[in-house]
Amino acid sequence: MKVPYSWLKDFINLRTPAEEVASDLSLSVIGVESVETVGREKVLNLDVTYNRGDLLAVAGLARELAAMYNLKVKVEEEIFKPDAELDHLHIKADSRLSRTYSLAKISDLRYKSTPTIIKSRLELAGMRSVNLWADLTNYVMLEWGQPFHAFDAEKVARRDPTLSIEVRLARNGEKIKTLDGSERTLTSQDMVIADRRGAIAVAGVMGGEDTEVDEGTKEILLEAAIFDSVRIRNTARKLGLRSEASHRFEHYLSPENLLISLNKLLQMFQVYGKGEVTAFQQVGERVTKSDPVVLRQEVLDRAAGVKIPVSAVKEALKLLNFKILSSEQGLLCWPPHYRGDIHITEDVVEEVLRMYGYQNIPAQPLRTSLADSPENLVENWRDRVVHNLAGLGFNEVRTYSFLSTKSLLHNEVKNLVRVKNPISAETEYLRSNLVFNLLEAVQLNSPRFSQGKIFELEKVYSSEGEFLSLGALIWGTKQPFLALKGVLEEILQDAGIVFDFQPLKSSYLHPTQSAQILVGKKILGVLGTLHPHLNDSYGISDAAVLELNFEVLSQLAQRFPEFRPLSTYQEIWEDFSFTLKEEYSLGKLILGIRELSNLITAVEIKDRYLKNEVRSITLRVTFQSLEQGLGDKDVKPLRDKISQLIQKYRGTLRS
Amino acid sequence: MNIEDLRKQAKEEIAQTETPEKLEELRIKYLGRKGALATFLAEIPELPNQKDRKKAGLLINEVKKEIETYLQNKDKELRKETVQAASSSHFDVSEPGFPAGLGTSHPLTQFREFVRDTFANLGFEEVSAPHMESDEYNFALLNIPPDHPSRDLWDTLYLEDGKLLRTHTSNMQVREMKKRKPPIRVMTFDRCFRYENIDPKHSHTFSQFEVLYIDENVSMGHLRALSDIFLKKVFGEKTQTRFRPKYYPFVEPGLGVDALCPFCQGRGCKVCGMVGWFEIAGAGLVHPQVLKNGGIDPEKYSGLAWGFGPERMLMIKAGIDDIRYFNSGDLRFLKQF
Repeated sequence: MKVPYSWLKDFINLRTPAEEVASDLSLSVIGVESVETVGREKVLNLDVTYNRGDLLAVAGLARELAAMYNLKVKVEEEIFKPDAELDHLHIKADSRLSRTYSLAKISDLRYKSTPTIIKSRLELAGMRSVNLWADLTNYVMLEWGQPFHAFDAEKVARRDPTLSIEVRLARNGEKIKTLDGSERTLTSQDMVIADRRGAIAVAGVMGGEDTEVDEGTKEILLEAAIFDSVRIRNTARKLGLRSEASHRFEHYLSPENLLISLNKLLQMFQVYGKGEVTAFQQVGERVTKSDPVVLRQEVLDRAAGVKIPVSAVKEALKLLNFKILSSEQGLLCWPPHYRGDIHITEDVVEEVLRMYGYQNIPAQPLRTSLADSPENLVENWRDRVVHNLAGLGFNEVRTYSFLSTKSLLHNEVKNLVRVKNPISAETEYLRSNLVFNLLEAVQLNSPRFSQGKIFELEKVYSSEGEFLSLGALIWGTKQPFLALKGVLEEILQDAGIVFDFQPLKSSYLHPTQSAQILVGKKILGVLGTLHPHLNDSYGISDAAVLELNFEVLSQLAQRFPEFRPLSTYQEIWEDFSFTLKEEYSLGKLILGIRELSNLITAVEIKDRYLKNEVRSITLRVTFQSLEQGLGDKDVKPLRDKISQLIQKYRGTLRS
Repeated sequence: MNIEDLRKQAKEEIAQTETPEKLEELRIKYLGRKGALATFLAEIPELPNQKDRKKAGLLINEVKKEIETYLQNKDKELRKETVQAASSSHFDVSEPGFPAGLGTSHPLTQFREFVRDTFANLGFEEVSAPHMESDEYNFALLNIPPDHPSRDLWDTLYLEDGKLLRTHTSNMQVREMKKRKPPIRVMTFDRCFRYENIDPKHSHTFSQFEVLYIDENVSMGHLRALSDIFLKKVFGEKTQTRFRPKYYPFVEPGLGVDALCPFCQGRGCKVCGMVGWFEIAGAGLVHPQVLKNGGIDPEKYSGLAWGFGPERMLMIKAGIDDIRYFNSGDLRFLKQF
């Protein structure tokens, strides 16, 4: 809310400069977003939160400043007391819809233009001047917080001469043309003000066009009410008609404040529009009934962590216009009528402490018992894997948790979680994998980076739930599948996980260069070269992707693997060179060799070369024993077996 | 060749040698197991008389010692030359090294580890809660009833199955209370979502860090201590912070933590809206109703919650001017961290 500094001076003899006021308000009342200078005026821009509806008024802010600076409020708060001779009006209002509802008829009005001071204050507060009648109601609303609505009484009488006004729920499909000229269709969730012919206003939100006040208005039906805040909020949101008035209705308003505000407004109608009140009617509450809140000193001291003197407590509450009474149970506190946010002891504690100054509460060291807690596997492995990948040259990226419209084309929409109220089409579906967001990141970077390695570790979503996923992508590399598989092997070896591969068909992976990663019967993830059709759509080449269920990985991961004894005997190695077509499995061959004998301690690829789907491979096999040094007589039978095995697995030995 | 020629030849060859490798070759050539002297030695047994054999043995030994001396001297000489050559060589140490190719973790990941270590040292345990959350844990059990205007503090993305995308990490609060018994000390650093258009200062996807501490006699004083410990670690020992009232329905009293604007040192500038301070964290004492909702007796226990937006804090600390970088995947940004 915007409050011109000079307006506050109507209420209190404020001498503190605006910037300092802003800072003091921030420290003990409410946030001040900025202090703007407009001409010779300073305007405070307040961030009023839901609990402090009373501060959506210049008067409310003045009261608070008076308490802070120990000043006297100059303006009397007089409640409107209708003359007994005033005519009555017909009002029907359900107390569940409006806690209180009043109408005043003001007659013999004479229009003139809005006085400059009122106009300029409205503008400084961020409102537009419309006409005198609307301006006066808005002015008092800004000053006292109570919204009003002015109907042209003659226009209402033309519709319904009895002036029978009802606050009721709209009928489903009921229509009203609001004063912005739009035809609105309402539902039974919306509240209307209606006469016997139908709705004349959407309650608390906007009036109807055909009863609008204008320069020719001679007689006004002035509405002052407190409506159900939840309904006002829902209707204003639904119709896209959130206004200064509806905003205030969403906050707490008191019946006393309504009558004080009404009194001010009626005086202004008399001063500026020469109008006289000729009729008045009110249904509903006129006074706030409140039970005292009990404040016990020990509860206060416990919250503060320091003893607050009783005198300071009483002083603070008196300045804030609480009524207090000492009792055996503790201090009985009655909040002022305009405070709808004080219900329990802690609410009063906050009042006392903010007056005492949060700043004056000293830090208190934490003393607490230590407790054991279970190891958090996911978090521990998350750190380790992130560091490993960064060590392997990967850059960690983070991307949004949604699938873009572009990537949606490549995903099965029916399996995705859908957002009911997306901000745009780009936030309509939650991502079920990380691959596509990684592809978009590459696309963004590709003009500057012809190759790279990135990964992301974040959640993915499906109708079955959510889990932490690890996605990695490399691009601009020869044989990207093998390059990324090497990374996978390092990561899983570090985690002590032995895995297996099974061919996989996936819409976004290369038809033959893709596989599912299995650990026993558990599916850990997928690895594959990117499908050729995606290369074009994302402007990427020679790319492979990997995606693992990180929660499964964390559960399977082993720290401190079992130690293998080191042999004191010499190791011997021999190289085996052969060719093998891509259609035959090198992985199985290597596994077969390893399993031949426990004297074979390592089988490594020393050299490999691919041409026309035929690999020329040199395997280096290491022999070593824990018990003795090995000689040719030990190795020869193994050498023969290895050669036989290579042939069995369709390799052609080179001499 | 007789042995004298061999001696002469060895002397000459050694004298002409220029590298340690060549010298080693010569050592093998003359003194090795199958070297020249070994050949002479092998012939000794074939000499007919004892006297000649002895004489030849002595002579070969003499030559061997002589060659060893040549080799040693030459070796010293070469070493000296190597040191001299090294001393007089030129080398530009300012030339950049060969890239080793270390990658990077995301700045938020790095910050997360820092924050977590700090609070782990204070006895907090890391927990997590779902992103796709029920209305109860995200709102209702935190004292924010359905349709309540206070919900305007959180513009929410709702899911078709009736759940929502959590708007804050506070959805962990009642979950953890139900799982545990006081004293409770937990923390979480994770992703949250809001219905928000993206601009340099706002994002619909962002992170929060939050701690929850429930025990007997937990006070605002403890909150102050926790807050100071952490913010001094982030912004330095001289950091000035202040507490001020702030409304969150699930705490009472509620407060905001401000840090002095690093751009104007509190004098007021455009960046801080002439206020001189930056709001940096939100906190408060856990509302008694929320404790009850978590099955904890508010008469016996009290609690505190304290949290902040890591992106915002990093932006202030590192001078990052646009929140969108964090989720952009832009390597020019990421490689700086």
